[in-house]
Amino acid sequence: MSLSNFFDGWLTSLADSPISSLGTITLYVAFMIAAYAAATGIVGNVQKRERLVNSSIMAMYALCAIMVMASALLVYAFVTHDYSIKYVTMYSDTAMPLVYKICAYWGGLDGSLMFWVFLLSVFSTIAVWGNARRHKDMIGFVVGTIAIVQLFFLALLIFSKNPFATWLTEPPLDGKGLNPLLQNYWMVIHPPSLYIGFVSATIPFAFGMGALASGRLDNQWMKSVRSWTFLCWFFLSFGLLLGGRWAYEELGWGGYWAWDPVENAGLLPWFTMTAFLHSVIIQEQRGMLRVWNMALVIITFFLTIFGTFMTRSGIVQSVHAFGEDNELALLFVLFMAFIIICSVGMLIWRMPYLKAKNQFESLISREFAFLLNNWVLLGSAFFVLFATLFPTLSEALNGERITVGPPFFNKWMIPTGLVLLFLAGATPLLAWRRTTRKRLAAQFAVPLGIMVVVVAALAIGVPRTRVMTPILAGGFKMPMALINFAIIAFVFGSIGQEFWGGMRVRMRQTGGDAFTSLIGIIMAKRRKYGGYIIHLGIAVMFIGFSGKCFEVERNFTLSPGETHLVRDYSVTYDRLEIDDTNSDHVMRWIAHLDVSKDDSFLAHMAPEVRNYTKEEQPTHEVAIESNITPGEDFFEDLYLVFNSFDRESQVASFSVYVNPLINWVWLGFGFLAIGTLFCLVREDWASTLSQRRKTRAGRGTQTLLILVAVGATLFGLTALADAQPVEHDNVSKHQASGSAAALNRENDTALMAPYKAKVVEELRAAQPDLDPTSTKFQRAVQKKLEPIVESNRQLMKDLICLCGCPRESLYHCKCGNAAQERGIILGILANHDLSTGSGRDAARDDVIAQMMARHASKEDGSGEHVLMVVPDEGYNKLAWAVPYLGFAGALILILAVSRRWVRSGHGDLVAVSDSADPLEDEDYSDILDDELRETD
Amino acid sequence: MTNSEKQTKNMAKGKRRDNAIPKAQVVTDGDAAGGKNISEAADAKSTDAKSTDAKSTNAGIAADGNAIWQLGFLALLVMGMVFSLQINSWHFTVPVVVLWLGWAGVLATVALIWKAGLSIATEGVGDRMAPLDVSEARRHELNAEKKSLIQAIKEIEFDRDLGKMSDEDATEMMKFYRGRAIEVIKELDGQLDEELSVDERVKRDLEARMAVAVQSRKRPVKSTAVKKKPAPTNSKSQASDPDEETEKSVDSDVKESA
Repeated sequence: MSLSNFFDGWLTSLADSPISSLGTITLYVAFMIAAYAAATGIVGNVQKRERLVNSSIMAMYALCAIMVMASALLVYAFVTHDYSIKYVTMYSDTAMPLVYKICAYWGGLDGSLMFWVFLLSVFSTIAVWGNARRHKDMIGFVVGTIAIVQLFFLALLIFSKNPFATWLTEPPLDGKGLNPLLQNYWMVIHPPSLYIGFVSATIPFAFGMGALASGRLDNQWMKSVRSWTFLCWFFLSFGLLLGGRWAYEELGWGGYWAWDPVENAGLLPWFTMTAFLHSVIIQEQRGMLRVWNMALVIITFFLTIFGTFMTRSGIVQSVHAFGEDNELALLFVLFMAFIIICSVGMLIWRMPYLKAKNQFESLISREFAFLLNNWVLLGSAFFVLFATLFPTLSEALNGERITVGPPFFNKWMIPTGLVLLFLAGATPLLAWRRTTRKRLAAQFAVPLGIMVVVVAALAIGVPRTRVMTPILAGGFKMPMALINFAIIAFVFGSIGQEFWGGMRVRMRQTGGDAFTSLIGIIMAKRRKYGGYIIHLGIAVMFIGFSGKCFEVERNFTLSPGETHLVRDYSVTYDRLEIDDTNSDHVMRWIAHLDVSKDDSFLAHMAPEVRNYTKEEQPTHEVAIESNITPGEDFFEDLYLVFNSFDRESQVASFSVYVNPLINWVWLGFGFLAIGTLFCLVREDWASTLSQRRKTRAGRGTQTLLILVAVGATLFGLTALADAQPVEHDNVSKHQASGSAAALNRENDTALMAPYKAKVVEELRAAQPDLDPTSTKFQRAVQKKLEPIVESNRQLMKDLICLCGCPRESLYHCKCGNAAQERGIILGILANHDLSTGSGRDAARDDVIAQMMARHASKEDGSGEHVLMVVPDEGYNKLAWAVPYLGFAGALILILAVSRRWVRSGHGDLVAVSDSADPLEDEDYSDILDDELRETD
Repeated sequence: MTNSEKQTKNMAKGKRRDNAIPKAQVVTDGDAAGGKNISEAADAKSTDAKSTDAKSTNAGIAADGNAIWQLGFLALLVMGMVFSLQINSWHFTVPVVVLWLGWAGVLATVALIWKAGLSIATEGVGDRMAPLDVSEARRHELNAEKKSLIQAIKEIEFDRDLGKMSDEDATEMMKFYRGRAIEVIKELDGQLDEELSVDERVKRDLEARMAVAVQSRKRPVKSTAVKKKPAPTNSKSQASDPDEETEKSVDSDVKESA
């Protein structure tokens, strides 16, 4: 093709779709700029040529500017409905609200990759601008590393996933619209937050590589990236939490975390980043773990890329994943291999220069507790990674794709999480270097005392906290809720003691009042006390997690006017309303229900079924009623899902979840945010705040400002935590229908039916005076039937629906296939006596055997894929054995290495402390005292 | 600690910090004090002044050039914004804002690519980076270690005050860290002393001693702690500013004694 033909073609394309052409050119230019920045940055630093380095920095800024332009072009295409661009057609339509059109930028695969490049260009500009002078001898390498990462993503955009690509044929008149699941206010901020967390992990990695390449391996680079890592960690936490909130409001299964592969992809770098934030303290305080910290930076970055790969390659099945793409998968694998080879190679090359300056002095020390914390966090990361990939692994090993559902993750992660929580409380009680037994006992006395009191009070006063939960393997059960509350109490006691002790020390030192001293010590030791506040937040979140043990879940069908009892709530179905005011876009069926608690009216709730014109399946809008009145049910949610209905009779099917303590999860994040804020306060800002005001008014104003700031943050976050879902155009994926057939869904009523009559008769005989229509009588019937219903419900939760909805249990999935399977199971159960425990166990075994046999085939294997929990036999033993081996092996390794370090470290201490006698240098001793006095 | 003690200490610290001022400046002062030929000094000053004038003229021209570029950039930005409004029939809508952003991105890209090119082409910018100053790097490392040791000692003190550590343990550990911290401070001082000329060191010591003596005369009761001070060092990374009045009085006393 001649040059003139090329230009003719290009001009035609420019005339047909100017935004597409400009956008594509912009990406090409961005690619060239990134290549230039990478080359000049690295060559400049290698050859010590300042001009090249400066030029690379300018190129990095230019990359940011051009990505602003590219982003503006894509958003412009969305807001002006430019359907000549494929991506715009696929993820927007004319009727969508403006905010979702803008958010559609990152709603699809191509746009999300470009959004990644855009965010990274912004962050790298800020990071390079702030550090170019300080790290002149390594900034070229930093720019080079970032530019190489940018090059990879830009190459993907240009050669494989161009968001500006146009239709080969005539473009459609309207778009398909953004997935209704994504049209939600949480989804407006959730992906950007998660992306920020992911993308900003590149900055510490780039500085780490810069330090390795330049040989400047002191703590300076670490200090420069510490705040970045903290910010990155915070946004990742925020993104994960928002994802949980979105799932809670949108997916209609009453929970917020299901160990979905995409959720796990965000959690993996969170674990390693948390480990880094802890171990970096040891490097700063003691000059130890320098190799380990560098390794954590590399692993964290690798996991962010791996997470992106998991969600975009189709290697795992998830409701959130972008779909399968083998070409993209291959490119990612190559890039990950490149990262590992280069970064690990450089780490090994510089290993001799990263030798620790100090050694462990005792196993009962804060640094060793930090090391244990790192072990648990890294172990958790590898366990989650292993379990997420196990289905793929099992498919490769024996051809059958096993499902690893939430119960498997929970069995391991509940005890692991509690170990971490315990460490969050125990570590602050230990001293650096070593803690004597006497002091250890003194420090642990109060927190342990509080723990014992709380456990005794709960075990006696709230018997349901003694419920046994299966953990680990082999049917091992423990009262995890009670243990959880015990550890939470311990953490509260420990952190409270730290604040109290710190305040008293400060009062002694400054002679100030309690409040001023408390603020003073927090501001003086911001990172330490900010960290404690974060630990408190985590403990508060664990209160919310434990609510899962007391969750009540019911499915029932009601006619208008009927009432169903769920725990101490009465749910009365009033009427069905049809809203067709916007029928060209969506039809809404609204069920009106009145809820009362303990016979007093609580709330009117209106869950919905919606039918969007461009969506094949009707979707749902849940109704949530939060109880924020102090009392036993404080921070409890009543969660109502309108499943299906019959237009003629208005009979409707509902799912109700009572979620105790759930709002503590959102509140805990408030503490986490405040703690992060303290940790990120810069020294000069803190100095300004810490300076003693000369007048009483000045001091008063300062105190007032602090109180207002903290109060406003708490209020805002509490408001966020209590926020009721408002009207929005969101939907969930569950199927509903307006026909009577849709109501043929086996719910609790159906499960109870064979036994209800028998129980009613027994109760009548036992309590003849009780009115059979009274609430009391109905509650008594329900209580008697509860074990049977619970057993059957659990059985259906342990079996997977194979309709194609990834990892939904037969109990939760609302498709026709699940209904059919539930019918078969009820048929099998009808042949068993479920009134006794042994009868229920036998029935369970029979059902599982029959269901596996039903789905066994040459293609699908033995039928194990119908089980939600991986069976402990055959190849699948690996799933149970590897976590044990991994955790135990790592623990043994840590103990062995630490003991060795402790021996040599103690030797060093004794040797040096014997030789060095500061008394012989009184003058210098005075200088040191001066320095110590000036350090707060 | 009383105010007078603080002033004395601040003054001594101020002197120590003064020693950390750039070497070039110290050397110039030292040369002048060493009795260099006055005419040479005057010539040097005049040459300096000329070069400074030339530099400031060049800087002025460069600044003018920059201003023209900035004005041009601004004009293009405004023109683009007006054009965006015009093609949108003068309606201020979201697409217009997005176009503005895009246009700003275009202009910034062009300007920054231009600057990237200039960075390579412009004469006057050193083609080679200054080789890594080993002593500077070592000083950074020592300062970082000193800071870390001071933090470690403070942590031990805090742990002891909180009751996490016994007095004996704390003393033993502090002994270790103090010993190392003193070694670091000594090394920092030694390194600085090597860098300073003999004149500079003498001048530094003299000034510090005189400052201390003046303070001792003024407030004899508070002077004991100060007497123990060694020659001021440059080991402090951060020091508070000395009291100006005290500085003035010290200067006048120095003149009197001279």
